[in-house]
This record gives sequence, structure tokens and C-alpha cells, in this order.
Amino acid sequence: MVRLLLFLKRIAPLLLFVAIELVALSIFFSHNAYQRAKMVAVSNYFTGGIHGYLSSAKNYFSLKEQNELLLIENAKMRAEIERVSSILGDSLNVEMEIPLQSNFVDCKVVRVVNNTYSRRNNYITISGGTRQGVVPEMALFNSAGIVGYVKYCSEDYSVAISMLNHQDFRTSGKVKGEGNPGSINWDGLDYRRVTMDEIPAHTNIAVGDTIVTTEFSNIFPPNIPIGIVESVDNTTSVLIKAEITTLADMTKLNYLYAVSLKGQNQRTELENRVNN
Amino acid sequence: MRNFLLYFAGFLVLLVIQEFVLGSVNLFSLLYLYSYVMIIIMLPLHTKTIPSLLWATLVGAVMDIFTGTSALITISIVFMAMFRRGVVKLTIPSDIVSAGGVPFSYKIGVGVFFRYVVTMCILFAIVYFSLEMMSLHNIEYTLLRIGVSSAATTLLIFILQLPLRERKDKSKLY
Repeated sequence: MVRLLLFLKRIAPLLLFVAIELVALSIFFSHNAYQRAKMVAVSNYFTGGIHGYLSSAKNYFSLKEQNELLLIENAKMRAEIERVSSILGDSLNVEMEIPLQSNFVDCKVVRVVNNTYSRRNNYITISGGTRQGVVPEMALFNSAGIVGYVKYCSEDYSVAISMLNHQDFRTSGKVKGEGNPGSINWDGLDYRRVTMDEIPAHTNIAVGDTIVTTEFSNIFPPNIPIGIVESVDNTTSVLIKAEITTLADMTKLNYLYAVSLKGQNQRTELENRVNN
Repeated sequence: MRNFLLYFAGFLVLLVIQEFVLGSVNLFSLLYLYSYVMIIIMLPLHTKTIPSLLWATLVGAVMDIFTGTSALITISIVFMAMFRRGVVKLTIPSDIVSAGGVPFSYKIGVGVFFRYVVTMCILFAIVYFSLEMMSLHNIEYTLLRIGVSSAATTLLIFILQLPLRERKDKSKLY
């Protein structure tokens, strides 16, 4: 308390000076139109600049929110494109009795909250569960390519099988524009590469080709990129094996699209009946 | 109290001089003589900042009322008073400062007197003319006004203090 009083005593002249000057300046500017106009112009210049900086900073900090909104918008547009292309496809292929299962039922945007890629069997945890409409068997991919599929869901979170899961991840892939599929899986060694095997020997496949998902998958929509062919092993005469560099960077997953396919449940049920 | 009255009387004299004589002096709008700052400049050297500020407020307010400058003089002279002790330390040798008293030229020396007064006048003029112009356009003209007016006012204060002498009992000066 004593120190505070001593401090106030020390700065008393400064406080008095500031007080007098403030009163005098307010009188001065209120009685002089020219100086007031000049002052307003100067203060507007500075406050305008400060507002500009504040606005930029605010925009910067709201980028995450804007990014999420854009992703949601993007997801809606993807679903809409699928729906429209499905309708157009049906109208163009009038001879086709059963429409292709290429359109999504639903498309959600989810955020990755945990992701492993250094184990032999890796998982991705996403924020979004049954309450948000995320259900098991939904395909997960980002703008680069597929990353996995949803396995278990709680109300607000889900756990997905990563493409880097040696034990549980299998899907079919094909060379973009070609018809012969192969089986995509991970050998558990390099997180940047997956393997595509069981490719028929007559398939035209070369280093640099893009591998995409096929229509045979009950989880992934067709033609979603998987990776680029890095090497081809055609030493065996019947089936070819290829090393694929994944397009999605499995170490930097942030936001993903979660989609479920039309008729997925019916198909799974039927296939399970045959298998059992 | 007596010293206060003496200074106040001196201020009234300066007010009359300013209002009826110096107010009409105008040389190409460059020259403005502000003799009233002499009250602050000629305060005893030991005067602390708060009394200086109060004197400056009184002088400034009265001058603003008489000249219709709506606080312009108060702002400038209070600014000058705030830095008075610093200017005294910078421009007047410490032995003279420690001796105290009123800084007449015969006491502190003409050279020191001019150095001290011109610094104070420039401090006043910088604030006064900057606020009056409120623009960086014609900055050369503003600087010229500050220079000419400060030099002329310094000379005027030198002349005005020449006939004055300090009372012998210094302790009662302030």
C-alpha cells in the first residue's frame, strides 16, 4: 500500500499533466472545426487501419470454421453430383434394368481426432457418430483418395479401419479406365505404399498408372483414387502384383468425407446369406 | 503568498502587453510573440513540476479566454511546463541550479539564459503551431514560424527581464 502511494506520488505530475492536456484538447477540438475535421480524418485513418488488421486477424482465426463450412458444402455438392449423374445415367441407359449403385445415400464431413500409421494394424478415430449420421461401413476418403472405412460407431465418435490395416483392410482397385480389378491391401511395411495383387496377367498396367476403386466394392464408391503404380511384378504368368503409392497422405489426415452407398445393406445381407 | 501575488501581478502586466501591444504584431504571418510564457520560464529554478503545471494552466486559461484561442495556449504552455525541469537540467549548469532562485540573465549568464529560454520557447511553439496548422503540408512554413517566433520571443523575454532583480530573501521566492 505504501509502495503504491509512493508510486502514485512519483507519477502525480504526469497524471496531472495528462489530465490537464486531455481537458484542454477536448475543449480545443470541440471549438475548432478545422482541427476537429483534421483530427477525425487522422483518427479515421488509424482506426480504419486497425479495423483492417483486426478484421484480417479475425478472418484468419475463423479459417477453420470457414474450412468446415466449405467441406460440408463440398460434401453436399458431391452427393448432389452423384444423384444427378445417377438420374442421367438411368435416362441414358434405358436398356439397363437395374441402375448402377454409384450414387451415395449420404455424404458427411468428419474430422480426424486420432490416426495411427506406424503399427501393423492401424485405425482412424473420427469425430462423428450415430448422432451425426455416421454409420459402420461408410467409406472414408479425402480430396486425394481413399483412407479407410468406418467400423464401429458411438454416439459422437467412430473408429475406422485405416487403409494401413494389414489384417482388416481389403478392397478392389483397377487401373483408371481399365476393367480388370485387383485386390488392394497393405503388407504392413511402408505407410506410403499399398499392394495391389491378383491382377489378371493380360491387364494393361504400367508404372505411373492411377489406381481407382471399382464398382465391385460394397463400401467405396467407384472411381475414387487410391494411388499411383510405382512398380509392377509380372514374374508370375497368371497374376500380376503391383506396388501402389497412396495418393492420400496417411500421416496428415484432417477432414474426411464419409459416404454410404445406396443399397449397401441389401447387398451385404444377400452376400452374407450366400457366404453362410 | 507574496511571491504568488508578485508573479500574478507580473502575469497581469504581461497580459496587458500581449493583448494591446504584441497581439497586433504580425510579420508575414511568421511572427507571433508569446510573452506570457515568461511567467513559467522565470519561475524559481527549484519549482517542482506540479506548481509549474498549475501556473501554466492558470496562465493558459486566462490567455485563451482573452485571445479566443480555445485551449490552444493552455495545451502548449502546459506541455512546456511539464518539461521545464528537464530543460533546466539540460541547459543550466548544475551549480547554478542547486543555488536556486529566479533564472535572470545577470545570475545565470546571458549565454545560458538564451539557451534555456530558446529551448522553452521552441517547446511551446512546436505544440502551438503544430496544433494550429494541424497538417504536414507546408511543414517548412510551420518550421519557419516556430523558429522565427521562438527567436523573437526569446529576445523579447531577455529584454523584459533586464530591469528585474531578485529579492534578497531567496527562501521566500517559492
